[in-house]
Amino acid sequence: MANLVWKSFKGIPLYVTLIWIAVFSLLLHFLDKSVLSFLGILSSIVLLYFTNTSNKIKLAIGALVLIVIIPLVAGENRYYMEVASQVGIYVAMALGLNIVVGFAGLLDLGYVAFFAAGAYAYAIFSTSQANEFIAGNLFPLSGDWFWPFLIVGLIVAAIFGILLGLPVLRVKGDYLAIVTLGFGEIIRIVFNNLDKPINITNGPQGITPIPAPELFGIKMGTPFYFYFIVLFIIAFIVLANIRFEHSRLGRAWIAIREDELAAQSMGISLLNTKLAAFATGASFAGVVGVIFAAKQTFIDPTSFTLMESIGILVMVILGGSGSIPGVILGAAFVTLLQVQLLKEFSNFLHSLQQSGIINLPNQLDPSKFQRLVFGIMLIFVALYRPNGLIPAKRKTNDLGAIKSSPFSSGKLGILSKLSQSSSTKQS
Amino acid sequence: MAILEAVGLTKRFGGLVANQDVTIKIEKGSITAVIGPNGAGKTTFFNMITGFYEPDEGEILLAGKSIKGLRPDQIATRGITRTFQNIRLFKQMTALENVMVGTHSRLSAGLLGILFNTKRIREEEEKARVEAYQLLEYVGIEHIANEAAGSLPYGLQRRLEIARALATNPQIILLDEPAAGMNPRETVEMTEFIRLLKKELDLTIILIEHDMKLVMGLSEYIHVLDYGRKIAEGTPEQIRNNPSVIEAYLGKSATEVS
Repeated sequence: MANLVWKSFKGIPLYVTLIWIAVFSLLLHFLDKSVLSFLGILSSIVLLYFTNTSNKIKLAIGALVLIVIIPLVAGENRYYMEVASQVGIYVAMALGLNIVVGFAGLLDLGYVAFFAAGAYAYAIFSTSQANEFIAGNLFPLSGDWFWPFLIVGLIVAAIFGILLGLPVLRVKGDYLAIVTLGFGEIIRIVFNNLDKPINITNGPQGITPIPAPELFGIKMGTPFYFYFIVLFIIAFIVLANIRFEHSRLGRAWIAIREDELAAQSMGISLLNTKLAAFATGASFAGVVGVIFAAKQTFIDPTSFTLMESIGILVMVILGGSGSIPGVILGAAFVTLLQVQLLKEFSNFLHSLQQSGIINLPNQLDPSKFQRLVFGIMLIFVALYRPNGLIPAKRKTNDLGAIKSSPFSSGKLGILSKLSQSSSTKQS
Repeated sequence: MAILEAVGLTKRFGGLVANQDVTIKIEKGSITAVIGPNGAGKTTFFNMITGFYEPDEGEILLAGKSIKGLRPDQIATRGITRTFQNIRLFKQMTALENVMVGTHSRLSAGLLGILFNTKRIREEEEKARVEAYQLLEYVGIEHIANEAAGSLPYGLQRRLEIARALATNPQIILLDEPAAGMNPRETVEMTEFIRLLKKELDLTIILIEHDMKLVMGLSEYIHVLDYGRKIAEGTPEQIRNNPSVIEAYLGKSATEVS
């Protein structure tokens, strides 16, 4: 019965979504510190996804909300822009991990290592840190270098991905999870100890001050600018994800996830295809790492712990492994829960406590229960939505377009023998 | 001319000898059956030909060139493809996409090409899609092109698996129990279809099958394995009357009685 209702559900009418967006943007504009209206406007993107209208209109409205409305109504407020860009960073990382875990089915528990590689690549060379091991006093670099370093971070992380992948990808399943976990930890510990004999990463003291990006002399150090940088990167990563998903490579990844033996007998090289997935996923994390370093202005190895890797994995699985909209939703949801909902709830309880209504022992502070909440959420998802909040779904091909394709005039591949044999019969 | 030659193949798993000194020659354009009781080593033989197991001893020649030691994907690109005893489709993908995976090694799209979505890549994709659709038409299941492969009924899954194998543009196709689990009518259809494959697509077909009616009616030549050794080979007529084959299938007393 519930299924029937779901199937007859055509989507939310467009006007509902538009009213939703209008109401919450006005609310956010007039009530300066309303967390609820900020969440309302962010969730309008989810609403938009389920709206009953064409993809072009959805894209246009989505872009309008993200590029114009949010900066306009929340741009003055540093905190909101900070939260939004943090959400964006995790969305971008989760989309990268989605290629490895969601598409190729390789359970990677050391994903944060690639994020660290990108972050350290920018941090080391943009500060005077690089002078420690490169002669000539060439560093620090100015913020203008941030942009080329997005590419450098991408390449460094991709190389890390391939170097780690070569030994690691010989094992599969649970073993792969354990080995990647180990490698992730090794990378973190190496960064933690690489302050001697040659000081490369400055060890546990971390590296600071990492310069903010600069463009035509404008310093882009505020969350307002980072919001746009992150948005730009997400657009790129989403586009890449969509193109990969329905390509020769994407099919090979999914084929490997579904059945390695059958994939091999279709001529798919396991190692090359898995390495491509590892390197692609890693390179996205590397780019995000560069942004992260510039945004934080300070990085040290504690930002790249196993908990981070697991957190990103939770986003992917919660949202829907292999599903691009699902992963975006999962990442946004988990990050908001982490940085805003639980904290706000804590603050609310604290204010109640201060006014003497309740007596809350410090141990019961909700922001300390983050992991408990994650755990409960995962259990519920596993029980009631095992394929995630928005499950992955393969695109249905337009058969009419296939039949009318110019290539349909002749028989292709092995079937070309068909027309040959019939033509010889006729003659 | 023999297109595929397996010479003295031996495969051991610990103490168990799954294949011992198996020599089988396959003529180009023939339908050959490999039969034998359960556990005779038929699937092991298939796995060695397709590169999933490396033989401990012996040699495999494809059109005179050794393919021993190559990976399964390398062997697939050289023109040997297979189906599996317990159908192995990519369940979450649509039927059309399953077949498109088969075109993998003939497509050239790499990471950057896909990222920039070049005209060449778009054309290549369209061509692969058309080819996959034509193959679905050929096996007669184009009406389920957009269904998830895992949700299809059993008979259609078998056909889809063959369509997918054909998409690799093979010279030789190995069918591991193509009629397993089929009712008599479906089995007859499958027999006709395999014959058609040989005739129309100029394929060399090797099959493992337990359904003796299918084997005897379809194959031109039969090799019999028992306990990992080849005990007989010949035309269906010869095999039917071969005492050691009857013994392997029915036990020793059966030959004495007859």
